[in-house]
Formats: sequence, structure tokens, C-alpha cells
Amino acid sequence: MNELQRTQRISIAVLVLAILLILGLMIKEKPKFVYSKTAPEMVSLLKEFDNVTPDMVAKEDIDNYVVIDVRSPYDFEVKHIKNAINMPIAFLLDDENIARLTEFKNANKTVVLYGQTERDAVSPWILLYQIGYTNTKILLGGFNCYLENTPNCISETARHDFAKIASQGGVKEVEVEKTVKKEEPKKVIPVKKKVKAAVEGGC
Amino acid sequence: MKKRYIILAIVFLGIAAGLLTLPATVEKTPVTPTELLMDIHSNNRFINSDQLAKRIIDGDPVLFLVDVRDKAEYDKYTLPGAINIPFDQLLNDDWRGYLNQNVNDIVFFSNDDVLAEQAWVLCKQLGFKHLYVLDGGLNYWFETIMQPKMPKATEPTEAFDLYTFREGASIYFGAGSVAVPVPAEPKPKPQVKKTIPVQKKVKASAEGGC
Repeated sequence: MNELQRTQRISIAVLVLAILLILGLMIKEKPKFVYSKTAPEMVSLLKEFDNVTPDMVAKEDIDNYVVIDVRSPYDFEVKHIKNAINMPIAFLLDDENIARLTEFKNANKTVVLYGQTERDAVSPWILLYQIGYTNTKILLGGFNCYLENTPNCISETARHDFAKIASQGGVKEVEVEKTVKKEEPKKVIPVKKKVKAAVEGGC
Repeated sequence: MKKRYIILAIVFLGIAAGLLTLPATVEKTPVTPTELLMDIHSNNRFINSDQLAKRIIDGDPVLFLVDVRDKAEYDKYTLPGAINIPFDQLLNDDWRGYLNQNVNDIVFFSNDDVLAEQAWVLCKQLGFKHLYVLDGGLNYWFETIMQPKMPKATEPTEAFDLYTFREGASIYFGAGSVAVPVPAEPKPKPQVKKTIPVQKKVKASAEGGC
């Protein structure tokens, strides 16, 4: 009888455990954001991704894009691209911003991210793209290039001849002139020589 | 009795098997988007050219430079001691050992910092640690360390100290040259004979007699 009780208890314990496990799995939190593109996929995608140049975002074309400024609110206040929306990096995944981003995605609008420099927008953009906002692009050259209004805002080109400059070093001989004392021009003292002619003859 | 035990054993085994086939709770990308965003925001991945120059000159043993440009550019010029992992091969298995480790500080660099930043964020996602980005890239490195600009007279002393450091670093990295004074050959001066007019006052000889 003892053994029967024991086995009964064990059975109940196992059953309870199984139920708890199943319940736990069911109410486990689903992660808020999921990567829909993996890192290796991004590597191959980045090779040929066309981003947006400042002239595209210029006054005339502004209606085609939704421009998002990822800088701090202070920088945004000082100056920003016309009609840009401010979503500082720190708050990029906040509910409010995510709601807006989802709205833009559903409306099939192209979202252009920009930071002070092109680099500042890179990581936020990669992150957004990977969690599913594939309608996003980066403003090439960043805000700095937009302000300068140059058509060529290509980054990652070597601006200097690296190899040449790096081989210029060494020992340079510098000639040092011996300080030569200036000779004072000899002062000309006219010497008046009084020549008394020999008195000839006699007095 | 035995039957019950067998049934219990089967139930346990069933649970165990079920747990095994659960979707991995440790995601393939161990860093969640929210955590990644915090890392992005914190900005402490950047190392500027002066800091890097100092570490290279001091011979920091854990410094590990990774040039993410393509091979042609790497062959033309790269930072001393850097290895080349072209960006499109970044996540290949061959390089995984170099990137996913706990000993070295990996500094990604490229011509600017856009490519290096891309490399950083993708590796960071995969949970790699000790990753840094050279702020400004090689372009900025050349504008500050290799060819430092003399600060204006109105700038504070620190600017001049920094300039002195950069000048020294420039020599170390092969761009600056050390000036060695060499006495110049004394040029033979053409002798110009100065004629000294000596005025002689000649009194005419008294002629005749008294």
C-alpha cells in the first residue's frame, strides 16, 4: 500500500510539473523586436545599397521622402532639414517612434535617416532595416554635407595619397649657415699729406 | 506497480525530449535590438587618432587592428600591424576566430568611419566583445597624425602640446622627417678691392726765389 501511495504521489508530482512547464512556455514573453534579416544577409546587401544624396532631399523632392533626424533634440532645434522628424537614437525603439515607423512602412513611404555625419546614421539604419523597416535609407554625407550643398558626398574615398605621405619620412639635412661677422667697411680717412716741395734755389 | 513506473519513466523521457526540441531560447543573435541600440547610443566604441597613435607607439599588446577595406587598398597602405578583413568577408568562418574573442581590443578602420561602423554594428549584434572604431578613419589619421597642422598662436597650450605629440608620432609612422643640422659650406666671398682714395694735398712747389 505504501508503494502504491508513493507512486501515486510521484505521478501527481510529474503531472503538475508537466502542466507548469507547458503553462510557462505559453506565457513566455515574445521578444519585442525580432531580426528579420541576419547579419550576413546585411553584409551582402550593403555592398550595393543605394542611399539618398542631399540633392534628392533638397526642397523640390522633399515630398517623396519622410526625413528623420536621429540627432539629439538640441541639435535638431538649432537647425534641421525642412519637414524632418526628430527621433533621437536613444529613443528610436520607443513605442511612439515605432508606431510612426510602422505607419510609414505600411504607407510605403521611403524613410531617409540622417545624422550629423553619414556615420552617425549607419548603425541606427542597419538596426531598423534588420528589424523589418526595409523602406529606410541613409542620407549620404549626413547633415554636414547637406549644409554644404555639394553634389558629391561620397564617403570612404582616400582623400590623400597615403602610401606617398607615409614614405616621406626620414632624415632631412638642413643647411645651417655659419653666421659670418659682417666686416665693417674700412673707414676711409682721407689723409691729407702736406707736401712741402723742396725749396729750390737759394734765397 | 512496474507498469506505473514504466509509464512515469516514459512521461519524464517525453518531457526531456520536448525540452530538447524547444526553439532555442538563446537566440542566434544574442544581442537584442534594444540592447544594441543602447550600445549604439553610448558612443564609447570610438577611439580617436591620437589615442590610437599612442597605443601603437607604446606597443599595446592587446591592440588588434582590422582594416575592413578591400585588399588593393590594404596593400597600398595600412596601419602598422593591421590585418585585412575585407568587409564582404567579415562574417566568414575564416575570420571568426579573430573577431569573436575575449583577449584583444579589435579596432576596425577604413578610409572614413562609415565602413568600419558597419563592421562594428554587425559584429556587435553577434555578441562579439571589445570592438572599437577608429573615429574619422585613415583620412582623419592623415590629417592629424601624419600631417599635423601647426596651431594658431591664439590657441591654448594644450593645442601646442598635442601638436608636438603629433609631430613625434608623424616621425614614428614614417611621414615626418627629422631635421638634422648640417653646417653649410662656407661660400668663398668674391674679393672686392676697395680703392681708398687718399687725397694728397700737394702744395705747389714755391718756385722762383725769395
